[in-house]
Amino acid sequence: MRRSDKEQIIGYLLILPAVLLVLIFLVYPFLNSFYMSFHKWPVFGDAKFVGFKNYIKVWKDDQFWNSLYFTFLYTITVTPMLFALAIPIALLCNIKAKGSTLFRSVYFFPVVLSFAVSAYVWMWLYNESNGVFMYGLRYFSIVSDDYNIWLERNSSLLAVNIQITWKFFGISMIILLAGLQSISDDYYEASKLMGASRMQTIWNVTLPLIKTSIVLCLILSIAGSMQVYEPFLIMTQGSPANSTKTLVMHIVDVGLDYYKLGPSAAMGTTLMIILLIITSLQLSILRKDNK
Amino acid sequence: MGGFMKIILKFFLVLSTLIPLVTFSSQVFSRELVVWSRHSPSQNLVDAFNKKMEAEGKDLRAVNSVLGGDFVPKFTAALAAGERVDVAAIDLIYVPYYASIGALEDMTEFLKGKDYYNNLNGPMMHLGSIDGRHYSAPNDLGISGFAYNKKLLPNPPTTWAEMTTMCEEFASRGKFLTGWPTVSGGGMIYTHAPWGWAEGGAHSGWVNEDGSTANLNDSTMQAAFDHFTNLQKIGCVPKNVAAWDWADKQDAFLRGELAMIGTGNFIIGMMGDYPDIDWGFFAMFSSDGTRKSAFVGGDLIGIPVTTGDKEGAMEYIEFILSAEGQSVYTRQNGGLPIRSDLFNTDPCMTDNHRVFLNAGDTGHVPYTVVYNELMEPWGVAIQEIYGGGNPGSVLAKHNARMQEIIDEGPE
Repeated sequence: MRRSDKEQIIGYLLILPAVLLVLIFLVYPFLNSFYMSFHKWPVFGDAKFVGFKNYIKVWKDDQFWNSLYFTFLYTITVTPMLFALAIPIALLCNIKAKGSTLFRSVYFFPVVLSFAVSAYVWMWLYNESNGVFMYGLRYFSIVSDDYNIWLERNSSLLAVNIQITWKFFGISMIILLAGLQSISDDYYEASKLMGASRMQTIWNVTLPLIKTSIVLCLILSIAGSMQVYEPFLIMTQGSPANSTKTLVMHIVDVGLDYYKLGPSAAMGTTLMIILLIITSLQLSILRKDNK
Repeated sequence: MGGFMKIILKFFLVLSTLIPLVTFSSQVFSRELVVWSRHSPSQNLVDAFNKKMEAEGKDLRAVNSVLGGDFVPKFTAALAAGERVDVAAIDLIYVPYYASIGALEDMTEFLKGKDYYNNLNGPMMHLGSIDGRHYSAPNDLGISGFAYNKKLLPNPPTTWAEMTTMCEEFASRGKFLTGWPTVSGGGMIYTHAPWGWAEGGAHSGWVNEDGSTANLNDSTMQAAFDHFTNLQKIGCVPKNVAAWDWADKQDAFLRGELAMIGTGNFIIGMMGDYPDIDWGFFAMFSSDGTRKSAFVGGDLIGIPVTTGDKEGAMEYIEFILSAEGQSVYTRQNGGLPIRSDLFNTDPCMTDNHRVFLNAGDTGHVPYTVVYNELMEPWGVAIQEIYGGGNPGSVLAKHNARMQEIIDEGPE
């Protein structure tokens, strides 16, 4: 056996555990879910092939469309909020100053908190009687004395978006920071020599050079937002009147609460296809720009 | 389910079962019953049973796993994987589904052979039966009713008209008479639907007796919603009640901000923790006050078909149904016996307990194999009504959805 062959075999063996984990916990469940989506799948007894019946059922399910619409609404509102906070903070953290490492850690801290913990913390902040947030809004007469943020869909959405932005902007910030730190100082020096202002430098030099990082953040944000579950489950429980029920909440309800595994699998497959399309579009735009 | 999926499910189920086994078993017995339950108080029953077995010199011991809110998905996964569970104490509303899919052993002869067979709680027995065969027995009772604070409301209302008058009086003083957990579908069927059932009789205002027809838009249920939306309009109900969960209304009552709330017998156990409240209880009633109702909740106990020791499971259930076993529950604050012959003989029963027991006599629990799914239109309907929707049209719309779900049935 040649040395290169031996190295190749060792290489394959080393990645085997990771490949096995991906196969067992990602590929197999996806393929099984795809298979299930064409079957009537009772808890007891044998599965029965039903063709596209589950997909037709999903198509006719009003709550599926409501949840899909709401999930899109959440995605397109939370993503700009994340970027609006992550980009300036990343730019500030990129300044070589004393204590910047501490600030990076502080800004990243909410990311390591569990969903449940951060959701409950924010629910207390929003609490109509004791919440600091509500107290502040009332103090400045922005809302009435008996205002409750969970009474309407849009205010509930905004409340959750703020919590998510606070919790997750740290991830985007770290990715963007990595992009910023890979930019050579030569670009900034050239820009300075050409008399560009600080804003012009950011707009014409910094942002184009971290485009790959921005697209990566965008992909992560959109893919993550489309699969949002815990924040709305804990903070709104889908209320008022299911108007904040996300698609994954609906999929879980149909599959694990109603035990309709076939239709639930059909919805899961549909979501997977939607995500594949969105991600492919984002990647193709990035490739086109890079060319 | 696929074979490979079953193996994976089994692996995790074995792991999750091993942890309590390691925790609770200090000694290995030749017959160990695997008991799955929802609530931690069940451990007292298991301990009492094990003590009895020890005293009788029997080599049978029960090992309890308390699964809390995850009971239903875990139990369903266990059934699908063929995992051994000998006894399961299940939230009663799910039992018709499990019985309908053949997940529970037939206990008819066993139960009919008991002297107290006719004293077992009727609505609970109804839920665990199909075509006269019994697939479960009552385990513990959770009956709904109303608690009031005598400091704020010296005498509770006895008719809906009286409640309206009280509401006007409270509103004129800027105080709140009551509030409810609008966003909790489970909380609302427990403490709100019985007003409709008291008005129209059992099997009105949700589903009919065998669960084949939805009747959410029954005129009596609509009358109940009209009454409470009227209280909302008068102003004796907090404005944000449409966003309230169970904890919101209970906390408001315990803080002394609400004069009365819907609750369950379990709250009797909390009375000592709130000495500032002068506690009183009453059952939900019809508009003229002549008929009472309640949601008869709690757990039913059954033997899953995946049992490895049916005889041992029977022995455990026999202990639970005995006066000795029931006293374990009733000694815990707020517990109610599931046998009517124990209502007057159990020394732990107080007048407060009897308010709930009497309400349970004419109480009700809907029979349906698609309970979870029906909770969705029910939950949305309540939120729409207390969010400003017209009760009549909202109930009609969601009744149609409930009927669709019933017609489709479980998968």
